Amino acid sequence: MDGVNARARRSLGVFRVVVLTLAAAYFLIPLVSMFDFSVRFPLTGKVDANAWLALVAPDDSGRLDLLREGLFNSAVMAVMTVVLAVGILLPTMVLVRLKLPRLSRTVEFICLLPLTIPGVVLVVGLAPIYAVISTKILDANTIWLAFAYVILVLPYVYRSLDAGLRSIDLKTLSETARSFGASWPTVLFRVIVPNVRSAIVSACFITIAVVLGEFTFARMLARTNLQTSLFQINLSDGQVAAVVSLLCLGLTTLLLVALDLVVGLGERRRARSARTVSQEDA
Amino acid sequence: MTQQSLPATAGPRSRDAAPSASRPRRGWLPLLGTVPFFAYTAIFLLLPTVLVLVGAFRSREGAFTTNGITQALSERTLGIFVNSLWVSALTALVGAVLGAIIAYALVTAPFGSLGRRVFTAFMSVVAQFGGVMLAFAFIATFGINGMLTRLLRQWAGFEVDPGMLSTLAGVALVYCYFQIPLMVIVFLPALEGLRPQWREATANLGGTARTYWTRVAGPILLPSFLGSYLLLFANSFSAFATAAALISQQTIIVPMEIESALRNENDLGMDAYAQALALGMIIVVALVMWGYARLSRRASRWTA
Amino acid sequence: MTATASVPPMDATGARGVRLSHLTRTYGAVRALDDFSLDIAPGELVALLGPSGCGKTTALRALSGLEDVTSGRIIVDGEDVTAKPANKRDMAMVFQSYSLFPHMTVAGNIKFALELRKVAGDQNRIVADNLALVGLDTQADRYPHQLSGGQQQRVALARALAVRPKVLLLDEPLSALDAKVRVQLRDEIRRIQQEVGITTLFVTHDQEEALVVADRVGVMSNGKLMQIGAPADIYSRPATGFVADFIGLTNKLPGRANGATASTLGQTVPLLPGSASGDVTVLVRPENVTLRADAAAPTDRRGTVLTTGFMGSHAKVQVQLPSGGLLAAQLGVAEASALAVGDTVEVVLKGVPALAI
Repeated sequence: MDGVNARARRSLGVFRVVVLTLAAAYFLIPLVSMFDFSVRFPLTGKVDANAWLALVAPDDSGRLDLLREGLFNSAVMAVMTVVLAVGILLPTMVLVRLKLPRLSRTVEFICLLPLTIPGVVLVVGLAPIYAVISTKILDANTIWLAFAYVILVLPYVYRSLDAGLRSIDLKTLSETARSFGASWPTVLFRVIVPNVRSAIVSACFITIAVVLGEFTFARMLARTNLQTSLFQINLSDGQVAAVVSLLCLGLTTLLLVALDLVVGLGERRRARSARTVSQEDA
Repeated sequence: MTQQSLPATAGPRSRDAAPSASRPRRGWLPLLGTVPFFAYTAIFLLLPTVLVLVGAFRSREGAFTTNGITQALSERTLGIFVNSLWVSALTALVGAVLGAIIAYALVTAPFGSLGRRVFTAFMSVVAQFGGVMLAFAFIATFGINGMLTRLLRQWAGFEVDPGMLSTLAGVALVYCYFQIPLMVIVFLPALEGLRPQWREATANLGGTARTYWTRVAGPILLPSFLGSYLLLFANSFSAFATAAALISQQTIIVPMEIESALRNENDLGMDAYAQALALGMIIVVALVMWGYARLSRRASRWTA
Repeated sequence: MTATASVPPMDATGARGVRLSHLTRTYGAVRALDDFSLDIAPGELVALLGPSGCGKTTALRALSGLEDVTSGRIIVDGEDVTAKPANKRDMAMVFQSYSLFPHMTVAGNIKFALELRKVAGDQNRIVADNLALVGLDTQADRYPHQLSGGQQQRVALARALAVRPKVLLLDEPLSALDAKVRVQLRDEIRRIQQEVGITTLFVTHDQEEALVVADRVGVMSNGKLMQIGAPADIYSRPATGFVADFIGLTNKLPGRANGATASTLGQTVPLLPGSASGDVTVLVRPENVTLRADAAAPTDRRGTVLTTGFMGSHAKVQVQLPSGGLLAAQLGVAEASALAVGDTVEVVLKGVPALAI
């Protein structure tokens, strides 16, 4: 009963389990080490949860102020970036698809350009622009970095929305709504958006992950965000830095895993309904 | 008596749908709607790029100068470029090979199985895990008080060099951590594009597993593999945060040199220098990405 | 009720040809193949037909060695190959799609096969000969993605024949193609197969394809072989209700059977062997039904015309029966045009033997 093919499949299964287990161990070790570091005071080797408690306990020493400021800034910027990126990109992409199809390649090129321009390079060019913004237009507040972050997440948001818009019949949906008398804002908000919900959610999740993890722009332009404040805190209180890193990673993991599941769920649901329809026809 | 089915009414996808209302007379109105996008990207994407390209040749007063370029071509700077290229090539190679093996292991799992989805999601998380937090994690592992340092000392009597992470080799080690998952994510679709029929046809025609890998799967995957390698190269070349968090005193790779040039307010020539360095980076990355695009196109032509 | 297989035209010793003997393949609780036996004579083309999930592809893949069997034997030209891996059996397969290696040219694909099988002779000449056989001698230097679906399948066929295998395996080779290409290619495949004289197993879910192409057709369901025989036999003498329903169109009329005949719609119909008795459903094909316009038809065989459809060479008329059921009749164009929707007709069943279940 043990055919050649069954044996080959079994040895492949062993290979898979071994490789993936080793890989998982390799990737988890630094995370485990960081956790170990967060509870084990480096000089004495004493194990306790002080670093974790320091986050929730009321803080009079002011040493965590910088961290709070960085966290606040990053959180605000995450929201701003999401709103700006989706708010600019979605209507533009819908417009191009419906009325200006010849522009679609240009838009795509621009949106994918940030993938080829290193962040370090972009920030060199942004420095004079932000100098002007800080002095003449707005102020030197960190949160205005969100404008640059929109560019950073442009490729991911574009790809996400592109996949979502491709999966619906945009032309028919909007023409039908218009034929019933809907205005363009109504079409956008009440017809299109609900149908590309999972794409928008994906875009949000990725954007949040990127903004929370961004370091280069903030450092080069001398601003305070989560990562730069983490860097500073590490110099004085390494354990707290480790705790916050783990928490941030945990959050990002949850976001990205939820994103994968949401997208996968949508795809499977669509595939399932497509299958049942064709079975009915048979 | 005939009863033929009526000709199908023009459906929504009919190619001869009525022309849209916004013909030449109002053709400019939709264009107006794209202004926010183009204006925004012009200011925050295109303008900075132009500033870098032009600024490499301009002094702070606005005169044309090649000081920036000359300084960028100095022996010291070229050495830093070599460091960056070397680290990128090496970490891309390690990432490509190990990542390909892991990706292959993943793809042998049934499509849509929970384990495969979870592991793939895990990979996409680790690939994003860079910069400061990754540096901390590795310091917590291999640093003076690191967990592995301690364990290696206890179990194997092996003493990890405390300054290891602050060297080029240490940076390379840490970079591999996010290069490998990136490879898994980028290369997985290529592996998924390998049709089971090709394997079965090879066996059916008399080939062994070795025949399949050397004559069929290997050549088919090669463009994607090389393309992914280039992508990893560009990724490593552009990375800044991790090295910045690991190394404080020196500037051993190009991005760190750029930062030091920007921070330097005393020397007025540093503006052009920083921009010249940035220009150099653009050239390298543009070349690499062009190669990547060509290879992707070749790969997709075969497996479409 | 399983069918009795028509006597396989294979020599008594089974020394040549293919014998699949009592194959069973289980996946947990599912039986993909259930005591499946089949003989293929040398040079014969047997088509396996059935709905998806019936086991026809499993049978083909078991023969090729790409799938294992839980029990049973596979004997090719007198040799038991059950334990042999796929790459050691001397067979060649054409898949539904993606048969060709995308990174090799047409000629490259064939040469690769020749190399693997260590076929002696001038490779270029063999490539040219086999491409000429399928009508693609000018395409030797093109890549698969530059060819149409039909052309790709022809190249796959050429590649399979070039290695002179003992058995040719075709796994739904036409299912992924356009209707017109499908019809054209199936005739060609049949012609080439007969010209070369190669033993062939052809799997399909398209019954018209199977009937046109094969020497014998095997109808499968749930891993079992329901009936095997010449196309005409399968069509006019189905052994089970499943076969009668799967092949062609059929009407299901309630009736009562006694022995060799059944009465339905007020008439007596001769029955095929293997029919049930008592209260039965009589399976009558549309071409065995005649309609006669007669407003005074007896009630037990009266019907009302519901629709008439022009099919080109014939016409199909749907009749509403007083019992509530629908009856489909196939008539000549002239006869059908004499009928109008709403007419009362007398339904006359021709005396062609039918199956009752």
